[in-house]
Amino acid sequence: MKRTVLALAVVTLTAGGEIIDRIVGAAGTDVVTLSEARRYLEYQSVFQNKELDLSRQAYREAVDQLLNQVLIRREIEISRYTPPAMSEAEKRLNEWMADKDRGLKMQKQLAAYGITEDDLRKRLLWYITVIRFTDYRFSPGVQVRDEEIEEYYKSNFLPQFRKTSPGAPEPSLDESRAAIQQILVQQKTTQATNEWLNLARQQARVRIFEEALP
Amino acid sequence: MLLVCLSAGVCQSALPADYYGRRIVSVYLEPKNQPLSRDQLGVILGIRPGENLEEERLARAIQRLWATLRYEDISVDAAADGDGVSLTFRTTPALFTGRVTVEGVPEPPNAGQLVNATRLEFGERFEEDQLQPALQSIMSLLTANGYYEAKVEPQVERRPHTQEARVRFLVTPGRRAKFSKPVFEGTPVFSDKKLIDLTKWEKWKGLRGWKDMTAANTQRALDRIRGAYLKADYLMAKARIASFDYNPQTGAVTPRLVLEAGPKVQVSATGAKVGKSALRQLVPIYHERTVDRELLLEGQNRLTAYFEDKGYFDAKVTYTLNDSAGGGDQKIVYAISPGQRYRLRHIDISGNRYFDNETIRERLNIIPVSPIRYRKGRFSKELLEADRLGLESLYRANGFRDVEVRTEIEQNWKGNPRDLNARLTINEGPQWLVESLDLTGVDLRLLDEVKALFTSAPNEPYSEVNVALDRDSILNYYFNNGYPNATIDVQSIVDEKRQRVALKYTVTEGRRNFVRDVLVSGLQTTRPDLVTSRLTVHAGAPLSLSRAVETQRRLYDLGIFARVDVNVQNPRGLERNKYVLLQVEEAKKYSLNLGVGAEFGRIGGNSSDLSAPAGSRGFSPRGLIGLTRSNMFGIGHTAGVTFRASNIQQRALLSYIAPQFRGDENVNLTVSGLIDNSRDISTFSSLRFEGSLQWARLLARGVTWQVRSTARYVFIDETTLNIDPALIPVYSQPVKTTGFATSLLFDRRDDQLDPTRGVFTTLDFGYALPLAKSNTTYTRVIARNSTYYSVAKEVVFARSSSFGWLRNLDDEPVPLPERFYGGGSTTHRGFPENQAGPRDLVTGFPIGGEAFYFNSVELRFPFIGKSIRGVLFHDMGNVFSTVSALSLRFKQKDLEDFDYTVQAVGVGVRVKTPVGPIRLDLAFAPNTPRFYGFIGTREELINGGGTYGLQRISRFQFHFSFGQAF
Repeated sequence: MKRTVLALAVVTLTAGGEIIDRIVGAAGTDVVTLSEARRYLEYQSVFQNKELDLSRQAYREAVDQLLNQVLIRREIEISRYTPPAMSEAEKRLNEWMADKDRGLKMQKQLAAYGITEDDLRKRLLWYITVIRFTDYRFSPGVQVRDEEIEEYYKSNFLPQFRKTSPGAPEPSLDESRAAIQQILVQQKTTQATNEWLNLARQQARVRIFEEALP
Repeated sequence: MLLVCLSAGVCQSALPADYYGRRIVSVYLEPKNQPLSRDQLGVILGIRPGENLEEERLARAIQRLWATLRYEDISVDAAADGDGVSLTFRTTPALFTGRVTVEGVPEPPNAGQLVNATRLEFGERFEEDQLQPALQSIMSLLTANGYYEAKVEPQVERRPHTQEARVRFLVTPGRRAKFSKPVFEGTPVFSDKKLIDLTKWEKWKGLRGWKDMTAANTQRALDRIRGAYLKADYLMAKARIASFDYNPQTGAVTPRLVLEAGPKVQVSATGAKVGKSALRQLVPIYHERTVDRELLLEGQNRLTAYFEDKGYFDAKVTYTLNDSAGGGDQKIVYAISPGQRYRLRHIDISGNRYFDNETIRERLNIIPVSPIRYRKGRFSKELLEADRLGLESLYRANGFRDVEVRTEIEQNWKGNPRDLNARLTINEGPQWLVESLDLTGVDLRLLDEVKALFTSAPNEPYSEVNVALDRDSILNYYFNNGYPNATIDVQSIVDEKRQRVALKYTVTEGRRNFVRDVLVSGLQTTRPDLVTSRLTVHAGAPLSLSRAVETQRRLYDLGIFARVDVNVQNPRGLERNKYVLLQVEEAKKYSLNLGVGAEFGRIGGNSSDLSAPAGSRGFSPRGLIGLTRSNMFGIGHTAGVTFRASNIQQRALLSYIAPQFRGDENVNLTVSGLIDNSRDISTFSSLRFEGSLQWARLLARGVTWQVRSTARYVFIDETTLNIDPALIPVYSQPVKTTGFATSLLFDRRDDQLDPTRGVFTTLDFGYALPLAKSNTTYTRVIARNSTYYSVAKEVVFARSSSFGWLRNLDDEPVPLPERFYGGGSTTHRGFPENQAGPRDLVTGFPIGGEAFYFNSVELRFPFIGKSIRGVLFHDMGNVFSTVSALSLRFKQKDLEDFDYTVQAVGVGVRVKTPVGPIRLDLAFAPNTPRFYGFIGTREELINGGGTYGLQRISRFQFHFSFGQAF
């Protein structure tokens, strides 16, 4: 009798199964699943050449980034933006593979995560597309004034130069102008991108399912 | 492992990757009741037993399920099943906003404003975190209306089987705050007393305290203050409410207003007269409340156009701005040189072959000189340019892609320095035609219907306007047949040599949506079948916006709903079958109608003095009060009682109306009863009791068939009967009539109140039944036909003929109340009201007839401006003693002959109002009847006193009333 009761309980309890995937973030009609977030972290560990981090915080950041990418993907479709060619991703990948240690580590990671080289190329191309698109979309509206370049030269550029190259002759403002301009354009583009993302997230009612994060 | 499962509830010992690659044995969904059907879920998931489980495919399945927006959360469990895996999709259904009500608040604010404040959108996703902002918004609206002590409690009724969340906000409003003496800060310039007066927040200038605080009172106060500043030339004044300080002890609120008068800005015009109100309208700094160069230039341009419109085509306007007056005050002076005043005398059109001159002139805004209405013509550079562009658009819409219209103004036309000639030279260019029209992407079942929508066709003129129309028609067709995502791509292949364009329309239909079911809410006393029988959207049918709007219209037509909202639940979700939500708000059941009016003309006459049988000039004020109860028994019927009283008529009317009888929107049933005491026919006063039952059916557009059954009992007051005393005993008998009548109405007028084209015909046949000896019995036919023609721009020729025949089936003469009476503002304007036809040979009062014939023709034309029109008319006809006495004879044979045709000509004026024209008609009838009439009182007539004298209906008549004559 006791044995029979126990067997039934086992059947009942194990019939619930184990969660293998679920929603962890949503933006309108698009979602981010747990498996997608984990995959993102795996790709990040390959691209950034570091160990896989599956902490709750890491997952949260992954979901956040993936939701941003959902919004950017929509914007790319609306803009009918032509993505860069696959050869760019291949070029970058080849550079990494050319480094023997890094190349070996990457092979091990890909095998462990079940990612093919083709998958890796496609993912890399997507990341390049995102970066190029944000430049294309947001940098034309960015303007850098001379006063800002001057201010940056005085308060950031020179102190940084003095720290990294003590005693070296300091470059003049005119010599540094182009580089500083590039830095400031980059910063402002990033700022414009973030502002747009904040607004887009509100409009799309972006949610992170905190309780679903491991 | 068992212990871990017991404590954790769900085992998480295996990695997800352990299951990937395994064969799927089964797929379950939890809970069993899903918002989508099994078939739909099968298609959406795309994961079937027998296939291998793949991580990416599983993620896509979750994505597709989520995209329906029907779920709050989705997770997938896996359990080993032999060497395979069993999957369970665990879902939490989402909720969608259904009916939202806010209850317990006396107006203002009204219920609609409160519901709108919640921003809970009907049919959209409902989430708990929406409640707090909704509550705050309601509180904000309540405090703006003085309810500082209000408490609001939300209640959500969740209906999982339809995924609806019905939200009620229960408000305990507390007392409404009253205004108290406001505090003015800043630089108001005006005195506190003046400002308080402007706010009108005091009751009776403060004698009765302060008014209740409402948002409307607050806004009106600000508007009045701003208006006062504007009037005093403080153009840039700013007025705002900084805060409302509420005192809970006294229940009073102290508004703090911050007012900045700013500088004075005075605007004047020199060189020509421009009224102050015209200046305010033309110079945009008044509307924009600021002064800048662009606005001043725009004012300059508008003033120039203003003078050009008056004929000063060489007008020049410049402005100067003087801001050195001190204290920031500014003086703006517009210097106007109007120049010579011209007249547009002639318009020359040349180069046109496809459209004739008349067609082109009809479309022009510029108008040459015409008597009375356009004495200087109508012309300005702006109007000429608008005409040029308008003509080019007209030609392009007819295939003349390369058309060019040039305009030129010739001065000194025919040697007169004030006269202008406008020249329009049209270079049509070749006409482009459509070579071919290909349509692809359309379901074969819909092909014929879609093709029927085209405006463009092979060998017809090509125009971009037609292509745009085609695009809109096709997309509307798809949207109204359940295809919300349909798109159309248009390609034009141009053959420059042959001036032909090949068109290619490629349709992408997209997904088709269907109605899952219709969810109705808001019914309280109305029977549900009254609503469901009027639905044009049904479960299973394609989801159509036009049908939803049609349902809305049909429900509004019942007249029992204050509001009808239709929407789709989850409009952005990607599932095919959608709930249609229908929310109604029942109107207030009772309504009170009050009305006052007056009638003046030749009316009534004096019942004791018989000296004016044709009536005398009189004035009769009139009042009306009515009470209506709508939605009787919850079936959309209406009951009403109306009392109307004037000098010549007192009436009580009881009615019961059943519109859209038994669910047929083309059938109305009306039951009515009335008691009427009137003297609108000067010969007698009568007290009438009448009951009737009328059934009316709309057979087709503009065609109505009515069937009536009437029972009538009329008492004639013998003491008011102004006829030969010997006939009084006969005609003073009460009249009982029971009868049936049927009418057919054909109405194809473009406008019922002021038609310009079309036809209106009515045919009426009645039979008074011989039910009892005292009943009168006869048959009656009345026919009327009116036609309207547009003979030129804004000129209408209107014609109306009417005929009536009463055939007496009794030995006794037809009682006076049952006879025909005619004459007056709607039948024959050569007569006063009801004065046409046979007359009593002793007293001269009208006694009606058994036949009538009237014919009217009118020429209606513009007179002054757009609102005043003129009319020339001719009326002819009469009421005849019998149908065999009908005659077109002009001359009256003798003083006892009234069976001849009276002719009248006249002029009239119509003043256009939003509810129809007010009219005044002056008629001259050269052959009005002469007759012997009695001069004296009724007593003298009965006692053989008084005298007799020759009388005549005045040849001049005036009629003042509302609406066209016919």
